[in-house]
Amino acid sequence: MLLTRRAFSALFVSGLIVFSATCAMAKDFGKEAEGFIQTMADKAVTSVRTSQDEAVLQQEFRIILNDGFDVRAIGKWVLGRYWRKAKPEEKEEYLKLFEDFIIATYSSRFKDYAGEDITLKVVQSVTRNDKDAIVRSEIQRPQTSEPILVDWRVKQNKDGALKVVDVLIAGVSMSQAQRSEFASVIKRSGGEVNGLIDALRNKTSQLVSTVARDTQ
Amino acid sequence: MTKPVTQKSLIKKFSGIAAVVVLLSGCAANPQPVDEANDPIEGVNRVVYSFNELLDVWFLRPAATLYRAMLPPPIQEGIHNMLANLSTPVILLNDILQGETDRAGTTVSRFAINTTVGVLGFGDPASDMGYKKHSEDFGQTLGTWGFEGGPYIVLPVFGPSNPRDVVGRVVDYFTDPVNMWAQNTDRDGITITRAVLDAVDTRAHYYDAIEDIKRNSLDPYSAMRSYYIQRRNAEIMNNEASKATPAPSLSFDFNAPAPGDEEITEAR
Repeated sequence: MLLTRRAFSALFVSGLIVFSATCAMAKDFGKEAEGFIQTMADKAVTSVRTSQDEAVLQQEFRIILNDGFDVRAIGKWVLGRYWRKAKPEEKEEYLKLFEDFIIATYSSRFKDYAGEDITLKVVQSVTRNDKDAIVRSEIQRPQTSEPILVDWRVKQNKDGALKVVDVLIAGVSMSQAQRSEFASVIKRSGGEVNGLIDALRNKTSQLVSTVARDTQ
Repeated sequence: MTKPVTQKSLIKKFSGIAAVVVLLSGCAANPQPVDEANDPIEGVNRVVYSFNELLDVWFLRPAATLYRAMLPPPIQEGIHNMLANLSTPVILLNDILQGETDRAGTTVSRFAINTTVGVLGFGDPASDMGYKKHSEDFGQTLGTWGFEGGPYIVLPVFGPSNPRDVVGRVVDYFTDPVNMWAQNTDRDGITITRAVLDAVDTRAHYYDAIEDIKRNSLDPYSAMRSYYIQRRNAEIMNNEASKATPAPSLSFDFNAPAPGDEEITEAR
């Protein structure tokens, strides 16, 4: 009786220790993720603030994206159930186009901010476990009083590196929006992944040529 | 304040609206798979969407462009604040209906400060004093009461919506003191002017974001749909700017699907 009670309390205490240790680890991961986002954002903000040349901005953007984001995982997830249906060569082509498309759209997006004195401030974070966290940040533009809320979903990958897997602007998940858009494009081209690949290729080259025209 | 007859008919309206919402959202309770938007009348919606696009290109966008070109940014911001201040009574009502006493207090303080110190809402000194702006409407209240949005609908002129938010819009209209006053005193001009100004201000305020979606999307219709559905859910969760108080205000649904979940590892 005494023994079982002691065994029980020992079990309880060790359980408690393990639990609080995991909590502490999760909390640490939140801090780590916050630092990771702030560092990446500072780099991006400096690029936007200083660079006037679209091509250079795109180049810097590609480096930041590949360093900080799990582009492959995002690309796969965004394709959803069609990922399994795609042929191997379609998968490779799609992933390559997806990266170009993301860079083209987001650099055209940030073109509006070029030369502006924007700031990104990490506000807080919540963690799900020691490998998964959400970092909330506020982007402040000089001429508007209300900051834009941007949440970053940060996960630790198998190699221990931190990667962004989703960005939520004012609570709207960009991955989710992209996924439902891609699904709609595929559905409208008769369920063929090739339809999406063509649309991606056209859109990307159109965006790149507009950029080229604007900078001339 | 109001005549008892008006109140009675208002209650009648409310119960009728409640019945409609129960009917409409009862069948939409099942969660949708992530790829399939709840959009059974997509064909009709796309036609209405194209119609709204024409309205935008012919009227609203030129008006917003002119508005932005003619008025300096601080004046635009002032008008934006003023319109927002006019809708604080509706926000307060919905704060109360949702049992959000803290937010109701913030709304009262905002209205008092911005109407006086902020000169009829033109400035927003309340924000600098820690009383941050938040949105609330009856559609969100229904959401917190557990009503699902239901199927996606694109309304002519008004744009993206769903049965729950249509009901919300109607209730917001009838619970707005300015609208009530204008209606009871036969000043329809005020309601119309405010609606037009609201439309132009909103289009001008989100000008870059809207142009951005149109320019960068492979299918703007479905992008808009996803943004609308997600944004409404975020608003219902009160996923907004951190308050002045240090209490954790970040509400996040970790169970929402995201890249890097099991599904991906399975697909690897």
